[in-house]
Amino acid sequence: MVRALRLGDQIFGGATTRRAVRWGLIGGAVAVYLALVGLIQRFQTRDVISGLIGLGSTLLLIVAVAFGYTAGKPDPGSSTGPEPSRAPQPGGVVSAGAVAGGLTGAVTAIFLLFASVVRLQSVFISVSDELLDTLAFGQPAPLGAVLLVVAGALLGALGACAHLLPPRFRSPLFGGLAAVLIFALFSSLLRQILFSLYIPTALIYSGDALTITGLVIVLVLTAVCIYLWKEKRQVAGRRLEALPDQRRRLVRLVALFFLVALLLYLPQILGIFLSEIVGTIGLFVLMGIGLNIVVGYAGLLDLGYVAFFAIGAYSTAILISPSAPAGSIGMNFWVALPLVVLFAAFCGVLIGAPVLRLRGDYLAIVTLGFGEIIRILVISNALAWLTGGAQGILSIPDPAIGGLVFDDSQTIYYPIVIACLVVAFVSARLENSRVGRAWNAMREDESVAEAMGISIIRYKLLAFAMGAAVGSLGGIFFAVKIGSIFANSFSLLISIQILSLVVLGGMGSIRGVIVGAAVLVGLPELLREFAEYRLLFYGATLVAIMLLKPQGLLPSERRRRELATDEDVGDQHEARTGQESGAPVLAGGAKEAG
Amino acid sequence: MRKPKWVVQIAILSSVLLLSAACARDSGGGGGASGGGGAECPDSEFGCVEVGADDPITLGTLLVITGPNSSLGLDSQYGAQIAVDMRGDVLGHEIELVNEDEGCVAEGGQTGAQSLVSDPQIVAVIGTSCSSAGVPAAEITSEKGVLMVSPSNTAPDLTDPATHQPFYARTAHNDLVQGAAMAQFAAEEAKAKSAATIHDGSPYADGLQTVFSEKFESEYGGTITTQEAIGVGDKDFKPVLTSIAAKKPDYLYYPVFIPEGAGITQQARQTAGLADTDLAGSDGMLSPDFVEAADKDNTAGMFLSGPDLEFKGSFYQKEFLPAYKKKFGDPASVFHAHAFDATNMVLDAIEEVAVETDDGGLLIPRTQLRDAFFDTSGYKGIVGTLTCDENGDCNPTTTIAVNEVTPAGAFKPTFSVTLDLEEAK
Amino acid sequence: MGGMQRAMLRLPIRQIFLVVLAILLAVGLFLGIRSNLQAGILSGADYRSFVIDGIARGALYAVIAVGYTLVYGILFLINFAHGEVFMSGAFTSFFVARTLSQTGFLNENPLLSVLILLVVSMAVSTITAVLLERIAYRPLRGAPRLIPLITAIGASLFLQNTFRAFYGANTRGYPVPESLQGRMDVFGIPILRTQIIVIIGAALLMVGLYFFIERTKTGRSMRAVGEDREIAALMGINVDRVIVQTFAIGGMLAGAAGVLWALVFSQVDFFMGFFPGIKAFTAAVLGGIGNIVGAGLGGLLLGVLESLAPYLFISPSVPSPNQLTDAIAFTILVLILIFRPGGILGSSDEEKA
Repeated sequence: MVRALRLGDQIFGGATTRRAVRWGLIGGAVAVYLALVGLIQRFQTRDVISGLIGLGSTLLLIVAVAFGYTAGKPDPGSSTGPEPSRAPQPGGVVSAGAVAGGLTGAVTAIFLLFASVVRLQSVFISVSDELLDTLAFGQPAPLGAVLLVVAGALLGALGACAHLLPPRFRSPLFGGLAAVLIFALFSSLLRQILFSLYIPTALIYSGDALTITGLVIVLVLTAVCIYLWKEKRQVAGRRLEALPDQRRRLVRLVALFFLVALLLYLPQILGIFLSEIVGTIGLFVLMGIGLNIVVGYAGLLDLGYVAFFAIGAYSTAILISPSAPAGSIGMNFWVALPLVVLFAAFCGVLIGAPVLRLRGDYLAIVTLGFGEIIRILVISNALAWLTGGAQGILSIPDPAIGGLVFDDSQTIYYPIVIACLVVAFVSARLENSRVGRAWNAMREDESVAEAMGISIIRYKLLAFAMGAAVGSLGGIFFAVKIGSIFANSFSLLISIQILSLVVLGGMGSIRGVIVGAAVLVGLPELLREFAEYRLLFYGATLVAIMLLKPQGLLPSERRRRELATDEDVGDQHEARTGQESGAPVLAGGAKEAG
Repeated sequence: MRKPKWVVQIAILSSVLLLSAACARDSGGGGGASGGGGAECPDSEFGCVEVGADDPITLGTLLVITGPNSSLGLDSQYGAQIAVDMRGDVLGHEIELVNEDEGCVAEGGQTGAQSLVSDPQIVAVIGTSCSSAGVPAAEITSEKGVLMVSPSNTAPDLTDPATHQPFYARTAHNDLVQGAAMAQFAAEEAKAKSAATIHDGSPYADGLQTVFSEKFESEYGGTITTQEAIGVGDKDFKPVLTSIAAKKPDYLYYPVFIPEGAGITQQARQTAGLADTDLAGSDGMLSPDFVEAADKDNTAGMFLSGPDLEFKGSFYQKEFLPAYKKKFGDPASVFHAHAFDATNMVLDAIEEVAVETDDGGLLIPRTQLRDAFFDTSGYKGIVGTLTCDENGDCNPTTTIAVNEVTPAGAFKPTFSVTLDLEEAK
Repeated sequence: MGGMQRAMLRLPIRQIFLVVLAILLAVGLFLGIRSNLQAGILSGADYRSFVIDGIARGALYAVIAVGYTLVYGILFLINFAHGEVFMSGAFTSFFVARTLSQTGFLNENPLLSVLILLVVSMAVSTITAVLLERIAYRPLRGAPRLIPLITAIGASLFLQNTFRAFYGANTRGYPVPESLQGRMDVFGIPILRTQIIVIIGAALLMVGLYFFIERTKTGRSMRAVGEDREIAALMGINVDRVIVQTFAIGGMLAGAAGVLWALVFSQVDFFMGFFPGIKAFTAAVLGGIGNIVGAGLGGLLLGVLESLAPYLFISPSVPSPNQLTDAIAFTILVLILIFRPGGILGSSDEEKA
């Protein structure tokens, strides 16, 4: 076995066969998983190219290509070769890709043959005859199996060839392919956008899928755009920095002006449905910024953040709704708002006080408990006289200023965005103030901070209070946006969602929260037809991000230095027994995570 | 410095978007439009849906198709689909369904409704499944003049004159009726003097048990010994069943959904103190999935209320069910019937008010559609004879049947009562 | 005011607060218990059955909690996905159970059937646990604590929905052998046969585990790695392998708990692991995390309190006390952690962050 591998290494040069085999097997497992989970059939209901190839088959193709690409990656400093090869040898790369892709196809083929003999559907509900048909390219199973292996090998080789391209062509290529997928997936949305821009959609779309011309146009255009963008960006950046200070300030002012104009005009551009989604994203941004204060700045792991969301929503409803169960107080929304925020801050202190001295993980589970306690209390019969119990609170009126009533998605957008901006501003100021620095010190090492005279109690309570206040804003706007609240909207899953988007975006980073919210809240709303798989993607994304880029997508400077990891940390850790350390290492470019 | 670069990038992006928005064509969205071919839209408030000559008539569905209750929502969706299949076409146009998910949460109902109303081609919506999603969805559809008919919302608030949304209607029975029917059955047929209830925190279950309890006590002089609650996802019901058994009720009513209902049924059978207690549920459990989850031995002898489907003519048995089973397998619930009727009623109303244009297209005026629908009277559907009142209840005089579960796991109607909503209030 | 004075002022306030809280609690509990007993609705037999139900449930929590505590002791990681490990075995064993039931084998050879189901479930759970460690946790060994935690949460969501997509979203009724149904009288107390099996089974598992950890070489290695990873590695212990073994054992226990759970509650679905997982972790924290006896104790305590508390402490005038069960459970957790931050069997000193 070892000799065969060594032979393989000698023939193929740069990339090792063993790695190709490994990736191929993993690829096969992934493909079979996608089949068992039903994603392939679910996607197959949509076409990528109208009448030609479905989304499900495309998914299989992507798997083969992706694993071929990964397998064909030339090994920097290969451990088997006598000296590290500089340029990737085409033969080695391509054959590695072919091996990986072929293996992927082979594993899938074995599954296909097995499933066509054994009736799996009584256990795995997704293994229907249609699935087997799709896998076999519409042919009888044995022929389909062979086709799978061959197609897999070809696609894998193709994927690996991407390594042979000069690097500056790679991003345009991937970008173009990604754009094709995006245009296929979000076809209804994009068709509307294109239609409103006077672009003839018949050229690009036929029904819900792309035409062949459409595919080519999208691919080429995007690739060219990305290429030009990358080339010119460096130049533009340098030119910008070369400008005298005053000019630069002018440029920034103009840019800011456009940004503000965009924010103001966005609901009109987007229309009702998209404005609705942006509003929801805005709510999660609000809560994300709040949780960011607790987790990101102060380092307190709060898994029960939904409690403040619920407190904000229910308090608002009780104060302003005419059909509040305990009697109508009928307060004006703008009077109620500060009251609710203050009350929530108070609750934050109440919740934080008993848990001040708890260690990180204990704190997590206790806060989770608090979140659940609040949820149970608001749904309970015992408190139904106040919260409405299972019936919830209805008829929550829309906020109004004078004659202007914020009654639909395009108008409620404005208070939400303004709240986001205010909160972001406050949060940013906090971060750079004495309070923020105290939080930082506390987060990194509590005993040292205490020894330096920082009152841990005070700052922890402050963090909880601020986090609660901001979180309640999310609840306040949620209540008036939807107009009625029911207890099942305030579940543990929301806490997890908020934490996820903060982590995904990058802890301690406000821009990160916005991006995280857009991805984790906005995307699933746009892809509503695949809603059954939403949580599945969620979980997979969380794990993937943590494994690949734990500092988040847009980390703040400080975090980037703390958590910097290379892509290959996974491989490096294989041989190492990682030592867990409490305090993060601050030296730049630390290879060991943490 | 990194900052100016990305600010500039965003600025470029924003200016592009702004420019395109400024030059963009106004994409549709209500407003009285005159159709092609000279015909004018008779609805000046909400406008007309313009259906081109070769275009289909598009209906939307907003049901719970993901999550633990998805079998309920899917069942309704399939019912609507069968209606569409059987109808074939309306005024020469095919019918298409656009399916959205409401997730049985308020924000799901809102977002799904927004998605549907932002499509100017959608004439009407069949939805929602869950009352909690129905409340915000009804508001949104009514704001845009989109008719929405629910096959399974049962919460009384949705058709209460004080809170009713003008473009909302339902073919499902009001909780007030089903709860009252069960109270009558418990007192008069099962001869129960005392009863206990369990709900699961959903407006559906809580609504039913509230009505049941009130009627049982006030009209039939019974005693409610306990009103308990569980949470969705709970598995261990032994403590709560033990505490209920301590007061020895004659009747235990738990109008919840299948997962919890199955657990309660099994564990109730294991509770010594409940050996002589009748077990009862509602249409959330009226499904073969329930019998499978709870096991036939345990469900034998229980009572489940629901719409009276067995007796209503041979159409249901001889034509609807076979068509349904062929395409979708065994039905998981009963609300496909309500969805079927709702869809047909909507299509009838469309036929009535649609204005044909010269080029073979259609103009469907929204307000007139709503009026025509609400005028429906004496419609013979699977569910019964449907007449819509001004508050959107199209099933105000409902026949509720109480089915006994046989040892073989089948549902045998043993009692049925026709109640009028007005009386039940 | 000097720092010294401030520090001195702080201390007594906290003590006073604790004492006042303890007094209030005691009074409240006393009043609650008294009004419940006075109301006389529930008989002694009822309370006994609460306790039995609680012990059966608690026993299951304990077995699952051990998996959490073992992993935490070694990696300082809350394996949020452990509940899903539990579910995967239980749900998969359903299909075997169904076949056994349909062929009649289940009723003819009940004990053998249960054994088969245990083996299947334990195997699947172990595989899930080991895969979990290999794919999601191993690459993150050195990372700051929040990262693996998020990964665990993500893995939990992922596994839940994977099995949902595999097997369907419906709840399935788990077939119980006929001879194991029904009640039996033990010392005059009626207990469900399935509950007896659960209690005995859980006890056996816990005892077996205890001896395994204390007496066998693998167990000793596990303890060593838990104490100090670096030194254990220096002593020649293959830390990676020990970690895998830890996950595997946790998985096996969870798989066994899965079958026992299914027998008692007669239902499986893709979501069945999430809340029991959280409860089990609560139990582990309650008993003192990193401590197997603690996990057992915490589990039993939590189970019994969950059953008993709504009907013992909450006065009869509060409607639907059963709804507040989880709230009570978590309140107990908070209270224990206020008074004893390390849990019952943990130290009473506050732990460093």
